[in-house]
Amino acid sequence: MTKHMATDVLIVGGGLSGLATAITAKEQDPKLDVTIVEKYTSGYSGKANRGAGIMLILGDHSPEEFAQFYLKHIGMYLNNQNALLKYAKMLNSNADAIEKWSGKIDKDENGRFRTLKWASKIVGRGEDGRPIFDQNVPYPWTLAAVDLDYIREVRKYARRLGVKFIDRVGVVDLLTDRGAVAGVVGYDIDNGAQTVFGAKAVVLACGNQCWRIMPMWSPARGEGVAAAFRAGAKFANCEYGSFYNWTNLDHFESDMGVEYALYNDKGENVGIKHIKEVHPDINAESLAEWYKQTIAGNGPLHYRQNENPLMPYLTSVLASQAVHNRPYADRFWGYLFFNAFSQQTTDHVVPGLVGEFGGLWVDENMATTVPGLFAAGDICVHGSRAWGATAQPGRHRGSGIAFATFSGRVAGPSAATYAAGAQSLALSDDQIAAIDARVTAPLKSGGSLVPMEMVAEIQKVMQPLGNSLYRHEDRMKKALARVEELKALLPQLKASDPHQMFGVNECEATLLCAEMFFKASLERKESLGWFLREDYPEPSKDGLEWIIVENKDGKVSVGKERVPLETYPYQP
Amino acid sequence: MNTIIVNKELCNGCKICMKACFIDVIKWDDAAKRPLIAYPEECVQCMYCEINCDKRAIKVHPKYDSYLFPREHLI
Repeated sequence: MTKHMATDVLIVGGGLSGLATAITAKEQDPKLDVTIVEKYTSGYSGKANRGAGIMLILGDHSPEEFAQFYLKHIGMYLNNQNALLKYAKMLNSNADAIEKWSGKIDKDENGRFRTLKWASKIVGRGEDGRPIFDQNVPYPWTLAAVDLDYIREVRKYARRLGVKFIDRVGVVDLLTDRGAVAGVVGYDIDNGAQTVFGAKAVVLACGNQCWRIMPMWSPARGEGVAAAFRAGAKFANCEYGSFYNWTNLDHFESDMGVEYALYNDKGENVGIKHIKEVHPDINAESLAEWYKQTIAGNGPLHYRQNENPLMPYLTSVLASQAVHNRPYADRFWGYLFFNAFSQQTTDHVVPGLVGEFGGLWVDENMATTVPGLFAAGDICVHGSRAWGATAQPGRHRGSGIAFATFSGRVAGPSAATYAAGAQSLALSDDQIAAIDARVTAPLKSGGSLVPMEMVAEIQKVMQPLGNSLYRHEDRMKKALARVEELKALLPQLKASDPHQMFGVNECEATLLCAEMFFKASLERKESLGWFLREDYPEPSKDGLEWIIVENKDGKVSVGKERVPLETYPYQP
Repeated sequence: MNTIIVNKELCNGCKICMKACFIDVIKWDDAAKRPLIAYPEECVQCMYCEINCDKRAIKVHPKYDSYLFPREHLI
């Protein structure tokens, strides 16, 4: 039995970016009906409440100072500088917004945000025993800290404004009318019932694609990416969606700063040579070194944690009251660290694919190329081109919460303005029937595969460093061929309940993302920033170009666009 | 796979563990008014169910050996 609902602004995803979108849309135009549809439970879902809880702000630095540093050291000028500057200018007010919505940012006795610059060194102890940091590091930003139960409070704030919530309904596709977005189709994750939503504007804030490999990133399965592609949206920078974190195969918790203390099996430090004078965070070269050493027979590689100069900083910030007062975060990290380190047996370290593939193209108002369709959060980090030639988190930790808040605060007013001037469009019965046939097919399938078996096969293609980070044409073509084989197996997937029905939709989305990733990667014939090619080790001499992915008659089509450097304030 | 234990005597049926799960491992048994650990093999030991349970009625024991990760496909 299909349920029909209508709203003015419909937001897919009730994590931080979706909530920021809803709040700012409602604040701009309280008359509008604003609804969040969340696959799980808004306030708990998403990734922004399961990370470090650190939030990048400018502090006393200027947006221009931040942008220039970022372009030179991280983005390699492959940025939309207008988007980067807009992001930079809103960094401080993002923290004010989070504090207003949740009251959960840690403050000192004078009520000011307690901030700590990334990678500061402990140089002494105060009378209260707390560490004193030398914050004289060369990075033009600082970090505020938020307790990890803040998103529940943000949800309550949104509800008080009149935002409506529909939990446990997963959106699987967009409905369009003559190319403009008209609504969405979702299914209840418990009973499988279909709901069709009409909406004047839709905002995709449902996360990116993390390939379902590293634990914390598990919910990001790319269904929003796939829905946007099917609706005809444009993508950019898809080849940068392969962030790796150092991890230990005993427990899969992330390690930071391993490159300072990365040893091969001969006892040689092989990471330190990749740390340049300015090293804001892990770089692709040190990860590639792991690959080269292993191929050369010098593995396994070891992480001598006691030599990592970041450890005093990290242990002071996470799961510790040495700097911040965050009782919920302390408990969260305490659990994770206890579980992980009580079961760690070796110092062997490997790169674990996090991914963060979010190439949905948006302009500086967070509008996609589909009229009426906007985006916020991880799904459009790369597509916004604000960060340039880097993988999310962009070599500046604390940027996940910052970008989610920023993009939501831009997308909300943009979508509200659009919806206020738009008419409800027709919902196509044919489209709804086709979506239903596609999504529910696994329930009727006589196939032999279950989704988790397919997940395991996709992982084998995506995780290898030689495929997804230190790339080569031969390896990528083989990987792409395997992706095509797996796509051909999709009709054999079966589902016995709504959970598995969603699992099949996620697998289909993940394979589409993999195809976009490898096709875009093959097109970039150079090494630039986070993007490394063994067969093209230098930056291209043809100038800076964005790799664009589009839907041409249902197929993944790849092209290029020149970065309009001459229109931007800063030049290489 | 991870072991997720529910103490059904301590549990007061508030559903917070199900709401806290960000990947649908925990369903709800409407008849018993208690959580149903439906997909423990997909649990990623984020611990949110345990942290958020005021009654301390649910516990997660991670077993990383069985975590789905392509251990033989790293290069």
